[in-house]
Amino acid sequence: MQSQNLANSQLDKPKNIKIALVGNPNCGKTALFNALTGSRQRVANYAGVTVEKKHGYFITPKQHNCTLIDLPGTYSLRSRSPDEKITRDVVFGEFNDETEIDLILCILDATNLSNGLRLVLELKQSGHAIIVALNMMDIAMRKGYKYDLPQLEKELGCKVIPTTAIKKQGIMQLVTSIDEILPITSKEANSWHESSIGEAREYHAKVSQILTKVKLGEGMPPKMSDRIDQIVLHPVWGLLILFTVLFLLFQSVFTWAVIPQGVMQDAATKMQDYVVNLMPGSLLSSLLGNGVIAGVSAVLVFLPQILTISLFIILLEDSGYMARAAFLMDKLMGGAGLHGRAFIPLLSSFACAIPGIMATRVIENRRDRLVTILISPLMTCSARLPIYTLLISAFIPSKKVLGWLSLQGLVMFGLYFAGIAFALIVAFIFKHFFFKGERQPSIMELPSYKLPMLKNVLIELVKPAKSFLKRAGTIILAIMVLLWFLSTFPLAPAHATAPAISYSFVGIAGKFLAPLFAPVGFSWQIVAALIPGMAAREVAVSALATIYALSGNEETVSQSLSLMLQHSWTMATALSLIAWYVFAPQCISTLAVVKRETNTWKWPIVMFSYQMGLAYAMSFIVYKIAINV
Amino acid sequence: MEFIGLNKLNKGDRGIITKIDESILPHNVGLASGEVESRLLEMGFIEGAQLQVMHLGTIGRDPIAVRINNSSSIIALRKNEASTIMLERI
Repeated sequence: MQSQNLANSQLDKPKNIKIALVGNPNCGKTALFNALTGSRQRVANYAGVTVEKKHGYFITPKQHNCTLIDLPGTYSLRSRSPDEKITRDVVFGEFNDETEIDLILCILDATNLSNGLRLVLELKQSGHAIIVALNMMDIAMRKGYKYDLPQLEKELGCKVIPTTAIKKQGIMQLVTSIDEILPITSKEANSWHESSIGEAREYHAKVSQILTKVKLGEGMPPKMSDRIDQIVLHPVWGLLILFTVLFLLFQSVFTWAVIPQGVMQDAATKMQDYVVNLMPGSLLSSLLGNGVIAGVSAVLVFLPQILTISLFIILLEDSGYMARAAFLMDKLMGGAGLHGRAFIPLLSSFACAIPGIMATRVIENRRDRLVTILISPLMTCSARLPIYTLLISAFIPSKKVLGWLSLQGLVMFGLYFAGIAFALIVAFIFKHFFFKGERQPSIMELPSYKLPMLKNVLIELVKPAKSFLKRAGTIILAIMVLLWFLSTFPLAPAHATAPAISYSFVGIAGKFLAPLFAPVGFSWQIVAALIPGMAAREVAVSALATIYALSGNEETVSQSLSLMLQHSWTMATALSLIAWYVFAPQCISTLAVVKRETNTWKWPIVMFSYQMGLAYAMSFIVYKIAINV
Repeated sequence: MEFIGLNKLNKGDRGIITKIDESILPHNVGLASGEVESRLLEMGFIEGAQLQVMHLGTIGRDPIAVRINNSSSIIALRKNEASTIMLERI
């Protein structure tokens, strides 16, 4: 009896409705997604592709629970890569990771209707019911565009709701219209096939037929936008403005975001010291202090930079400037085989590769994005500076070249330069040997300028931060604790003479691997220090201090370490280690973020391997030259 | 009647597309045949559409930004692909 009641109540309860949100790029799709679902969103990964699975939830007035799937912006259902195929597969119910949809919500830009209408015609062939949101109505009305909406509904055979997503106008009507076409009892058969060039032209003809029937007023091109572009895309002023924007971006990531980072790091160090000294010598307080707290702070410390760079990117994207910047940089970056938008991630990588790799999301094409991800750790990040400074001040004489150039400064510049030069070479190699046949012509839209909306910016800002903490953060934390374990156990014997770390797995591994690194001039102490140094590049300095059994505050350690190294290393070894740090994958967080962003272990492994090979080869060359000079 | 490739137009020039022909692509970047033409068609380029060159890149006048049929947005493409679009000046 009871179970029957349950079954009845389930019958009465409205069904859960799954809706695919499809539209051209730049038509306000994300704004509509946010307007419909607010903060009720969940981001996850689809298996095997780099596209994120973005679900949002809302309830209609008739209590239908709707799941809205935000799909990547597209001009057609054709596809060349697994990433591009997602929209089509989800719409057709052929995607393993997504159950069959009930309804398509197609968003069109009312000021640019023909591109959108062709997509609607294609979507109709899926056999699904479609609701059209005719978006950006406020701008369209201002510019004089006028449409016969009932006629448009007749031509398309589906509901057309005028909206201005960014101002939340028309959202209620949109939601009500979903109630009106439910329940969907039957679905027509899918008759879609990839259109030939001839058929693509037929779509154009059909759309212009529709437009002649429904267009009541022709709009004006955006005058304001055109005027801004006269300056922003000017061959000289445009570049000056772009470099100013880039300089600001670099400043904010490199200088301003570092301030809260410093505060966080100091706090973490104090907490760490406090916890470790709570029970001196106890393993538990060492695990909590040197493992867990150090690990958590190693994750949190990236947040200010990630938030800063994300804020920049959202503002640049929402305003429409990003496409202009890509236009200006296209020739320059394209010469190196990179996408016009790759300059943002690469520039951020000079501060830190983590926000840089996350910033590659601005690149839509998978191949271009992967190449940019793979070369970003070759940009000299700020975490390399402590080890560069230590080694340069210890081994490079502080004298002047040509009377005024500091030799130490020159070496530092050379290290930055080497990173960039090899990044370009690696990009070229990856592009020409590994991603053949995935090339695409670069045809992009420059949308008219718009003012970013605060609420949208905030919603978008939370997403990268959350996804970093949740998914990359957990990997980083786990590895930090693992590294603590490896450098603590086995414990040193009671009357040990050498520092405790040399008895640990790290010490054992250092001695075991030393013969492998002898050709590049590394002692077992260096090899051992490189292992905990995987936690972050700057950790190598303190790892070296630990191995050479130095103690004291930061400054005295670094001074005495410098002296110690001068005595125990040759010049050739030092130069070899510097070269190593230009290329080596000495940062576990970078690898974790690559795993997170590409959604597979394949690319972090590729990155680790090529960097390792390159580092070993370069250190070998530098070492051999140095000992023979 | 004089036809000219989109890659040869100057800033501010206008024209009507007479032909989009992938076979005249100077550097085929290794795409499947029909791909460039399909792409251009998807982005709104079509015979009979009116184009205006809005902006040219600083280096080598590449890429080229054009407005199609008074649309609100502008489409940017590289010279290489632009050369497959033939126009009649107006």
